[in-house]
Amino acid sequence: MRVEFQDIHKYYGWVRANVGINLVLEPGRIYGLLGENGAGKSTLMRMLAGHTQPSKGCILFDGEVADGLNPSRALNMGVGMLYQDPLDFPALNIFENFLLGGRKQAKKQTLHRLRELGERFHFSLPPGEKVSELTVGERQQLELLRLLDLGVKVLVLDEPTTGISITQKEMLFATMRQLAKDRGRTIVFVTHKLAEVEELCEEVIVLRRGKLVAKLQSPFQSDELIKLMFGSEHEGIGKTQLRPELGKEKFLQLQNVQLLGDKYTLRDISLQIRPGEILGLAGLEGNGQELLLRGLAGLARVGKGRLIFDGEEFQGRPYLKFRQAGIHFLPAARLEHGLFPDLSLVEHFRLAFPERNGDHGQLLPEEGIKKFSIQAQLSTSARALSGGNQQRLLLALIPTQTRLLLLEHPTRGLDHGAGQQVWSHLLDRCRRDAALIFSSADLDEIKAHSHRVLVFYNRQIIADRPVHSLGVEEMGRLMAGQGRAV
Amino acid sequence: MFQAARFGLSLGRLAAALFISFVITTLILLVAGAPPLHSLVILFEGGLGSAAKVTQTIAVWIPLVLCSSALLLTFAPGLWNIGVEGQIILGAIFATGFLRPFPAGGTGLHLVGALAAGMIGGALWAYLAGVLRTWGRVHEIFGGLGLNFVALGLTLWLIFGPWRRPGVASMSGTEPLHHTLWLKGLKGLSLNPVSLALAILAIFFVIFLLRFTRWGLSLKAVGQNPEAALLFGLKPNRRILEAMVACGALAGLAGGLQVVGVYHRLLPAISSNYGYTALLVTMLASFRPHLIPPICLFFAVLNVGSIQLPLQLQLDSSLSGVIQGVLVLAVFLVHGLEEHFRLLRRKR
Amino acid sequence: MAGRAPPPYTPRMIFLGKLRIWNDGIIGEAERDDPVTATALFFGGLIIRHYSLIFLSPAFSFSSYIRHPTFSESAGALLTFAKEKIMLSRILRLCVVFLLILGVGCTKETKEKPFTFGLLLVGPYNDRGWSQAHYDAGLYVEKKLPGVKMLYLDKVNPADRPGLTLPQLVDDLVGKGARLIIANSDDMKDGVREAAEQHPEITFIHVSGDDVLTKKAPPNLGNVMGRMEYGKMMAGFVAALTTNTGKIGYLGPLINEETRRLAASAYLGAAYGWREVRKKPLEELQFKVSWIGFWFNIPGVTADPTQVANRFFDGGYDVVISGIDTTEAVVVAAQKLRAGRQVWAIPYDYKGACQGADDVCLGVPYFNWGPAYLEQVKAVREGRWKQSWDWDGPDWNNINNEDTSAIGFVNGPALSTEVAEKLNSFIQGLATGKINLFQGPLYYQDGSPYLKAGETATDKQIWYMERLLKGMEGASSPK
Repeated sequence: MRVEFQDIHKYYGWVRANVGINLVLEPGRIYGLLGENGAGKSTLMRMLAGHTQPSKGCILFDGEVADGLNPSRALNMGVGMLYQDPLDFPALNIFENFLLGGRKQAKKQTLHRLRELGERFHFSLPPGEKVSELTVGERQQLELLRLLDLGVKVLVLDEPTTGISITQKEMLFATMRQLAKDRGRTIVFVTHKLAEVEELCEEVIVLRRGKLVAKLQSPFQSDELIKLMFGSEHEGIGKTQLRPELGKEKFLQLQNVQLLGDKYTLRDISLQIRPGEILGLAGLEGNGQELLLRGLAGLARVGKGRLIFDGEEFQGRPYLKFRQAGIHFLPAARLEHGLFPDLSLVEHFRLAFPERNGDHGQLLPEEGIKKFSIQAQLSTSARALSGGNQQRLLLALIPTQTRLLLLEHPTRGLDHGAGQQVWSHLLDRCRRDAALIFSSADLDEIKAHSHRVLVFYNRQIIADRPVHSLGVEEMGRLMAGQGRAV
Repeated sequence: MFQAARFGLSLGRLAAALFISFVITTLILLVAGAPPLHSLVILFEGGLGSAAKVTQTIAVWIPLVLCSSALLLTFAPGLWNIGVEGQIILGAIFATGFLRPFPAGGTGLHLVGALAAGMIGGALWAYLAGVLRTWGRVHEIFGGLGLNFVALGLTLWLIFGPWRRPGVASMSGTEPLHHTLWLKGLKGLSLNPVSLALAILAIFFVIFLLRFTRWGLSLKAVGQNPEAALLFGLKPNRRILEAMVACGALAGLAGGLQVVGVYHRLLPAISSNYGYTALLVTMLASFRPHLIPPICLFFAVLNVGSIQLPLQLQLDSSLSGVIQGVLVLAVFLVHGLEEHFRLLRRKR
Repeated sequence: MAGRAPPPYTPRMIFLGKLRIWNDGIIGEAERDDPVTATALFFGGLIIRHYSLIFLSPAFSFSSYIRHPTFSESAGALLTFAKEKIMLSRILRLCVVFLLILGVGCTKETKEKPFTFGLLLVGPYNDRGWSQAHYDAGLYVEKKLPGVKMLYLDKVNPADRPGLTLPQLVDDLVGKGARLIIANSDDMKDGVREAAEQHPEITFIHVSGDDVLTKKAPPNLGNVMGRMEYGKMMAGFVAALTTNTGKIGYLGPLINEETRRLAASAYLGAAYGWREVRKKPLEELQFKVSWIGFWFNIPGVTADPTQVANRFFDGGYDVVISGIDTTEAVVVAAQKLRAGRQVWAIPYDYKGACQGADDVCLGVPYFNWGPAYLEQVKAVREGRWKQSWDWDGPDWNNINNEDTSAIGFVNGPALSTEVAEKLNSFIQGLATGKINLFQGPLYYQDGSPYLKAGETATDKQIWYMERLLKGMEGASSPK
């Protein structure tokens, strides 16, 4: 089936997820859909599968406009999506799962189909086996067979290789090729792993900040893809702002620290930070930056090693001790994790600074709003603030005696001017001997502001380098697993 | 100005809900063949038609207000403290337990002690639910329901077992308290000035806590966004426990008052489902304290007036329960319609 | 009025059975081990109970739920609605009234009214048991004395009417003009006394109480009770003559003097029949009492009488004598009979309790409150009422005479003619005094003497039965 996207736009409130995308997908081909986190890949595919509808523009199937798609209609028209977490019922066995989501047909026939499809693609899926006993890869195979049984013509795979073994990956790729070549299926492979794209895809579509920036034929140039994904044009953020001077003593030290997160563990981290230092964390989302920031804030458990701040050991202490010692963490999702949506600005100030009018040099709400140029009333609720104002409010709520700032994506979603304001405030803090560790998806931002850069790949720190020895492109390569660790 | 507009809106919403439930109730009555308006008039006259009725209504209003305002404290940090029913029961048990050693009577001091014991009992039960929630990761609805069940079981065991009346094994209740240990109403009326004062005090106290203290604000903050509350150093778990304990204490007070002021003994049905009713009240009020007293009054009128339906019309008194249920549904309906229209408008 | 009650074993009863399954969850043995199920069942049961018990209860019938004269008379209910528009003005007036009360208080218009008496029933007025017997007596008084009006309120117990206390209900009845108030449950003892103290101008009758005996009663409170001991003896007698297994179960309510007395009477009747008529050794007769904890089933509070009756039948007891206010014993017996078991049951309280249970019902000892009520109402109306403690016996000339006998025994359809004849001579023996079962030597369950040899029990000795008698199984007092 030929799929055509015509001038697709998708907005979520302030966020523009997809902007003016025009794209044609031909039958019998395997496409790679590449882009960093938040580039708009999933949004585009979710629209194709009918989970959400475009704010503007339309999708055509074989030249016909498909209006008002919902997941079941999209499936009927032949669009199947294989999700990262397979949509199955773990408590049932393979046959029951196949039967439940599949076509309406006799039990015997269903069993026959399951066997037949399994043999064709060399999957070993015994019908009586419980799905909860299967590996992620096997569950994927089952899901795939189910979709094929339903007769999908367009198959979307959302990051299918996370969590499956190499053999399973190879089998999956072989299946993809077989489906495209022999059966004329359209296959879209969503990923941010360059190697896999190079291995499998005939054509690659690159999205960045919601826009389609390139559509390339195989063979691909890794450098070019990286440049396209992360952007090389320097947008001049903070170019004119000088980096703060570094202090002498090492006031934060990590010695062979092991951090235990909810989903994974970071091992053997050693770090030293000096007052005034700015450390940028580069890496694709989910590769460890989040856990490091939370661990430093006292929000993740330290399994092993020593975390020394100002000469005192902090591992194992509660979050409040970290906060009292002057460590402050601002999460990326400001409204979801950082603010109280329905409370007013004044209430936020009251909560952040217990000693009202105390002599700690804290800001009164009125002063704070003026100093940080938050464009709102004292009684405005956090929900009603724009992204920039939310970030400025969060900055205003940081106590003045804070010595270590931990920020996730400090300027995500902000426009250029607001971003610069945030940075000028942060730099100001660092000039007064605070240290800053921040993560960002914008490598230019990291390049522009950091003294030092840590690059994360595969939940490890694979590089710790001074910023002048590391270019944006190399950073991108390292993040995508294309460079050698140093 | 803004506040006034919001108040107006919430009143308007309530009025719309009342209208809808009135229409539905009328339909139910019509279908059943009863005179609809007459039935409603009888129902409301039954709750407000004479000074004695009004005092009876107030006697029901008191525990409802106590529990509803208690629930405001737990709703602030986003807790569904359905265990309030059990907390009332524990309050009643503790108050009875405190007074049992004085079969020959006592003084006002004993009553103060009994009420304090009731508050401790309720608070203890709420603390258990809170600990289950914060440490055991048992959702407060399940923990609360379980504890309600345990509380009821405990009452039954006490009534049938250690606190039974001599020579009798009956589920009807324990031996009545000595009459000097009764919290007496005004002469010949069920109106109890002390209880009334306590209830009014409680609602103002809760409003004060939630509106004007940093503690109240931090409760709201925990309810709004527990993760942010953690980052702000507000100790969400501790706040949750504090809110539960405060709520339980007020509910326990209500239970204690049921014992010393209304039934003068421990009964299996001592809580009279006031906890569940209070949950409905608080939801109807959309957690706004100023709406609690009028809604409680409305429910109390229904509760007291419902007895007139079997007396005068040979209708079943559970009709008032139907009205309560319909009203709650109507409020949600109005709320849902509002949302629906807001979405429609935004789409255009 | 009894005709208004639905016949038993209608589909609604079966539905009720389902509801009970829910409620059994609270105390059921299987569920008790699983807190989650128990909690879920409890909550589900609570909701269902709160809003729909009325629709499912055996006492329910639609015509009684909504009883309004115009319903049957007018062509349509819409007509009624039109009439009701006039009522709108009353609502407005009501608001004004409320405001007035807040400030001044209100005065009530008074009219010349017929003599009104109030009846407080612990269970549903159509429970085919204790409460219906009282309700029917009220109707009997209305029939016999034109111009006398009954006001009644049923289900007066804290489980059914949460939040309301007895004095409040009495206030209501008095407000409606009642000058005599009859409270029909042992459970109302304290409440009635309190109300009587608050309303010295009103006469109160506490049925089954002993406040007059114990001198706790204020002067306007009297007691009435029927000598059900005889009825229970007859019940025990036919049970002993009918049983094949020699095992008789007694479904007891709560434990107090009254219930011990009645259970003991049934045992004495059974023992007499077994030894004197069937000529078998007393040791071979098993007579077991199981208490549920209240006069009727309160789901989640009492033991479930259906389960208790089931346990009796499953344990080889082939006759169950009911001592509770409701008819579970016959219902379960009928089920067992359909399942092919030969079992019988003897209900209690209400003359019509056997109806519909033809194949299992051996008969019913019942109360006939009509004559006593009539006398009380007359006395109060004529201003000659005096406080008394009345324990009214049967009219031995005809124990089923509805104008004279306080208690009676109706033979059930399942009673064989042979046993019926023997019952007649037993009744004759009781009537003439030839047979007196409360005669020594009798011993309590624990072996201590109750009556010495040759000693005949006084009324007080019978009324205040301290324990169950020797030969009976079951708890004499709370554990």
